This record gives sequence, C-alpha cells and structure tokens, in this order.
Amino acid sequence: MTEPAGHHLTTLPSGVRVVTESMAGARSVALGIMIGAGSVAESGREAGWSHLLEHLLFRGSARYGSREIDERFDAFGGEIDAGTGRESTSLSARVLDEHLEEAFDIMADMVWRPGIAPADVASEQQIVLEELAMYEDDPQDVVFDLLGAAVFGAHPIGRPVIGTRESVSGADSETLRAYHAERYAPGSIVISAAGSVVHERIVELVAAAEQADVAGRRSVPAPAPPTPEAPRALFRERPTEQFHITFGAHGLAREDDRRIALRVLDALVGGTPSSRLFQEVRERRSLAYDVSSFHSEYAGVGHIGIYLGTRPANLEAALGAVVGELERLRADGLAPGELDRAREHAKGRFVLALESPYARMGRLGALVLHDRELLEIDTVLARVDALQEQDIESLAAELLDPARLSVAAVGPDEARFRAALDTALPGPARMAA
Amino acid sequence: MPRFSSTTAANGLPVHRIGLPGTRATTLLVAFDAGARTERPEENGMAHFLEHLVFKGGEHYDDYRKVNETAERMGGVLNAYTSHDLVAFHITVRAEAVMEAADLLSDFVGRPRVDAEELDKERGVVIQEIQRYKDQPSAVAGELIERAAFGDHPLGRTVLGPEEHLRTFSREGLMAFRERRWSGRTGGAFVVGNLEHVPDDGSLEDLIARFPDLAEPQAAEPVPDFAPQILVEERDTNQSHLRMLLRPEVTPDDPAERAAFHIYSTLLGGSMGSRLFDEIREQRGLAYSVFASDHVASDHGALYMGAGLDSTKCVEAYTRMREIVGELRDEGPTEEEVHRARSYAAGRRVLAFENTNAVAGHAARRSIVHREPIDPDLAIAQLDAVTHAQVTDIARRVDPDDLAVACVGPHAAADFS
Repeated sequence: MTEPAGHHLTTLPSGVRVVTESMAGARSVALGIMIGAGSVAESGREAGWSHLLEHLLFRGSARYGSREIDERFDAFGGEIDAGTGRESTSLSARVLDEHLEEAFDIMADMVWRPGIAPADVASEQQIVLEELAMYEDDPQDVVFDLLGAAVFGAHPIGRPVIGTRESVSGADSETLRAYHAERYAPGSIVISAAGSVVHERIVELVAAAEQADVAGRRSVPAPAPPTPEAPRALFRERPTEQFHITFGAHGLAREDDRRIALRVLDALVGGTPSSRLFQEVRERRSLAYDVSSFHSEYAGVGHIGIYLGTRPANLEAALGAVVGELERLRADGLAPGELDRAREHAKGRFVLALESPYARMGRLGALVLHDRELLEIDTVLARVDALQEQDIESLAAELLDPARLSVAAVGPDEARFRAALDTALPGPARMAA
Repeated sequence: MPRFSSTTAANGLPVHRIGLPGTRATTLLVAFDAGARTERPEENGMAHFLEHLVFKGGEHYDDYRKVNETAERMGGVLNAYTSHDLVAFHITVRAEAVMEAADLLSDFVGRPRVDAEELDKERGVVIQEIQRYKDQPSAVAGELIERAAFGDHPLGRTVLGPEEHLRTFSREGLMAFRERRWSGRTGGAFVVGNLEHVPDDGSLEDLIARFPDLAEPQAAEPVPDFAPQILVEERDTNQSHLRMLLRPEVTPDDPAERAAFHIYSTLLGGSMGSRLFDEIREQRGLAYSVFASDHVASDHGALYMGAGLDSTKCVEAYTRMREIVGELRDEGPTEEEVHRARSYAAGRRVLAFENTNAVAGHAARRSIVHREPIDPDLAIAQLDAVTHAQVTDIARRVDPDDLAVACVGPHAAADFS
C-alpha cells in the first residue's frame, strides 16, 4: 500500500513533534532533528554557544564515540551535516532507506545524550576560533556581519552566529552541559523526514530514543524583536581588490502574509539573471560580477538586503546604478510582463527544489519548529498566482525606500567610499556606529 | 533502473537519453571538449569567456534578456561551467517543458551571435570575476597549486585567464576558437531524468543539429612531465591556505583503476572517517578544514590535498599530512578502512544520482573526457567492485616527497622544503 500524498504530523506526549512526508520513487531518506536553539536567544556572554554545542554533538555521545559516529556514517554511505542559525540548530542526514534506523539511532544519541567532555570542548573551541579567523579573512563574510550590525544595532538578531573570540573561549564543559539541558527542550525539538519513509515507524523510533523531560517544556524564548533604528553606514578598511558593498533594512517577519509577495519582489529586484539589478549593473553597464538581493524571515522581524562587489574604478557608478534602480522601481512600478515572469520563476524554483527529499525535509521541519501552518505545495502555488502588481509595488515602496537603507562595506579606502555614498544616497546622514 | 538510448544528430553530435525513475524534472546538458586546456597561450581565458558570451543571445532568442526571461518563465535553472577539461551548458526544468528548454539552449548555445558590442561589455564583468577571486584566499590557493604542479602548460594556467587577455580578445579570435574546438564529434548532448515528454521522432535531434557541423579537433597538448614547484603568495593574514598536488601513476582509461584511486582519496581525506580528517582536524585540532580529492583527466591522474588553518600550525600540518601519505604507502590501508570508504563513496554516488543534473554532469565527464559508456549504475558497480589489493597498489604509487605545494599566508617557500 502506498502512503497518501502530503505530510503527517504527530506530537508526542513529551512535546517532541514528528513530521514526515513520503515521496514516491525515492530510495533515500532525508532525516533532520531541528532544535530551537540559535544565536538570537543567546546573551552576550553566550554568543556562539549554540554553534559551539553543535560542533560538540559530533564529539561523542553516551553510546557512540566521536570516531565511531564518523565511521558509521561513512560506512553506510550517508552524509551527515549540521548547522546553526539565528533561531535553530539542526542535525541532518541523507541515507539509503535501509540505513534509516541505524542513522536515527546515532543522531538521536548525539542530540539527547552528547558527551561534552572537557578535552573535547577545548579542542572544538580551537577549531571554532579557526573558523572565526577564516571568516575574518573573507571580505564577503565580513561585510555581511557588518550589515547585521548596521541594520539591527546591538540586537542579537544582527550578531554573527559564530560569536566572538571572548564568548567562545569563555565556555566550558559545565556551562555547555547546562546550556544543552536548558535549550534542547522537548517542546522545541522537531524530527523531520522525507523520502522513502513510513510515518508510524519514525514516530516509534523517536518515542523510544527521546530523553524524558518535563512534558512540553520549551527552550529559552528569543528576546523581543528589534524595532527599526535610524540607518547606519559602517565601513571596514581592508586591502582588497574590490569594494564589497551591502545595503540592508528590516524586511518582513515570518508571520507576515506578504512574505510570498516578498519572494517575488526579491526575484525581480536581484534574485535572478533577468532581475533589474543584474540587468542594469552587470549586463548593461558591466559594473560588477556579483550583484544580488536577499531576504530572510524570522519570528517578529525580517531582513532584506543587496550585495555587490565592484572594482574601485567603478565605485561611484555602481552605487549610483543600484540606488537608481531602486528609485525607478518605486517611481514607475512594474513593467508589462514582469510580474508574470517573476511568478513563474518563483513557482518553478519552488517545485524543482522540492524534488529533493533533503529540501522537503528542511522545509517541513522549519515550518513545524516555528509553529507555522504547513501549506500544501498547491496552496503555495495558488497564492503566488493570486499576487497582483499592486501587491509587489506597495511592498517595494515600503521596503526599498533608499532613505531607510543602512549600508555596510569592506574595501581599500573609507574616505572615498563615504564620499561616493553621500553622492549616491543623499538624505539623512547615516550613523557611523 | 535507468533506461538509455543514444542517437546522433545530423551534425555528428551524439544525443544520449538517460531515463531516471521517480522524478518530475528533466535536465538537458550539452558539453564539448573545449575546456581551458585546449587554449593556446595567448588564448588563455577564452574558453570561459566564450561560455559567458553565448548567453548574450542566439538567432531566435537574440539578446540576453530573452534568453534569461525565457528560462525563468519555464521556472528553469539555466547555467554553464568551464573547467580545464570541458565546457558545459545545462538547463533543468519540469518534464513538460523539456522541448521548450531544448529549443532555447540549442538556439543561443548552438547559434550564438557573439555581438561585438556585448563582447566589450562582458570584458568588464569577467575582469570583476577575476578580482573577486583574488579576494578569496582559498580560491587563490586553488589556482596557485595548478601552476606549481603544471607550470607554463595550459593545465597550469587559470581557467579565467589573466586580466590583460580579457582586454584583447576579439570576436574573430573567439569564433576561431569555437570553430576549432566545439565539434559535435568530441562533444555530447545528454537528456536526463523524466523522459515522458522527450519525443523519439527526431525532433530533439533536429534542435541539437543547430550546432555547426565541425571537423573533429586535435587532441589537447599532452600533460607535461612532473616538475613540481613550491609557490607561496605571501599575505599578512592569520590564516593559511595550504594545497598539495601529487601525480601518482594512474591509467586514465581504466575505470577500475580510477575507481580504486577514488577509494584511496576517500579514505585518505574524503570523508569524516578519513585519516586526514580524523588526525589533522579531530585529534590534533590543526585545521578547520582538511581534505583530499582525486581528479583523473584524459591523460593523467592528480591527488589534491588541502587545509585551511592557523598560520602557526601550517608547517606542522604540512609535515604530518605528508607522513600520513607515507604511512599509507608503506603499510597500506586496513581492510576495514577500504570497506568503509567503498560503502561511503558508492552510497554518496547513489544519493547524488537522485539528482538529474548530477547524472548529466557525470555522464558528460565519462563520455567526453574518458570516451566511455554512461550507465550511472555501472559507475556505482565499479566503486563496489574495488578490492583492498587494488587500493593498496594505488597507495604504493603515491610518493609523499614528490609533490607540488602552494600556500597563501604569511610564509616563505623555504618553510615547505
């Protein structure tokens, strides 16, 4: 018998949630454990601890040593990966279905019963400090961290997930064990699986493996979302070949129904090769190789932005071109056919991306973890189709007003950058810190 | 089980169909034996520049906007890549749109305008791409190791080419390169995934026949003898990016030996359970990232090793990584290690082959670089068949003292001698 299409969701008595979706024809299973522990709920002292703890999950658990975890996953040809973001930590794997139970057994032990031995904390701290130093060498990483500070000031949503040298060095095995006990709470853990999978079997596996705890207890809540502040312009001088420049502002919260319109707006501003910024800045005027826009949604707050890398010779022209395109969109609205194309693009990408069990698992897990409605794919497509030009235009008028954009840049000459910015982006002076 | 068939378009370009079960997507990929290693010295950068320029339009989709807007309207993912070995163009769409996608791709790639004005504009874009690379130390290290290993040979030059070249390339030169290298006889078209909407009445072949009918090109300049160097780009950073390249003897047209070489590089540094990952990263904490990988071109094999690390630990890691290669040469891998690496490599490939684009890319390499059949199941079976004795044999051929070294960081070449 085949499973019906669509997802299945079960909440265990402990509060742990299990969501799965069976996909016809798949031989593999994508399996994820998502935990509501991310950088936004960290204090300054704890900055980067969620990420450090994620590293430590791989250092051994009650029943599996570090080397054993690596070797077991190697032996069944699976890939296991982990990531830490602003609102969550995730451990995910892709394996052939015959290895599902064994893979889950190891992952569950890593998440619920990590060793966190003092020697392992010390060596993982060293590795994370190296990771930090590597980011500092990459101007693109630096400029995005700087933009977070420019848009969100001191609020933790704008801080780098990895933390600082001081906060990472300040953790020890005792504090991290307490941190794990507090943050990896059953009501903030979601198991997600997609591909060749039977829902009831996953529920049984989770029920057998989970750690007993106060039923329904949730992780530490995030602080109240930040309110918009006056725009800033932050610069870091580095002897780079290009100026790496970002513009950014508050976007839409995850709860905001206009997020589907934002996805389409982002595609036509800078998300695709026929987008306005790509056409004008790269194709028509050859001012950059990379120019793109992005958007991220979180609980109660969102982030939009634009990135470009340009040679010093093109600095003034490139800044002027980006600001000019934003002004033009606000003043003239959409061109004929533009909405239709962006809608088809958004729908096509959405459907093609969900061909992969891994992408489907990630989407389901994130929606459940953040208590969002699980829309069927057809519902999402219908909502994209229902968008009108006016929905996009009013969103552009609100979000892409140059007067509200903060700026962050990395490059060889701060004075020159600030002068160029003042010309391209007149209006209120932007705070330098 | 995949289903295959192959036909040939009127211009000599083979058209391979690989049907995969359980997918709603289809990929069309067209590739030629026209990568950077086929460039003459003054042409370095041209293969990649030409790849950029065809996107400016063909006969029907005659400008950049039409090409990209058409792909977007289909919800397709359209892209291209150039390596030393080949150039490839690919589009992935919902199965129903496959013939529209073939019409688009065969138009602008098969009948490109290569407009002189667009050419001038695109120079600036690629120059920016080169500059961007220079701001990424790991990318700089990746280019430097090729020069350290292959010197002034096409394989030692960068795919992007030097900035000066980009300023001088002419339409005439680009079209001459295309005439010389983009022959269907050494290229291929690959349609992979859901084939329900791919007709068998010759209409796909008619679209593919839009590519010009060109004579078979000459073989690329053979790989030079190994004269490895140590090249350091001194940068005042806290991090070092270390790369090594070794050239063990591997028979490029022996699939069994290539598979054994891949298992070797996997157990050396291709997975989390590998020797380099376990010792350099986990036990000694010397590096944040460390890896080994194998690459087999048409006439040679190369083993790459690399690490991103704290500069004060760079020389220690360099020494220890070579010692690990030496231990494998002298003592061989364990049975258990080979078993694990084999399961890992084969399992990874099964997972990767659930993606139509990955199968198409693999098929193109097999067919164009190695001139071999393109059955994805066979590629997996060849990994499964690798024995401990074969991997031990490969390990014996890897000499840890005969290697090219490249490093970006606060070092001098003498640190690595």
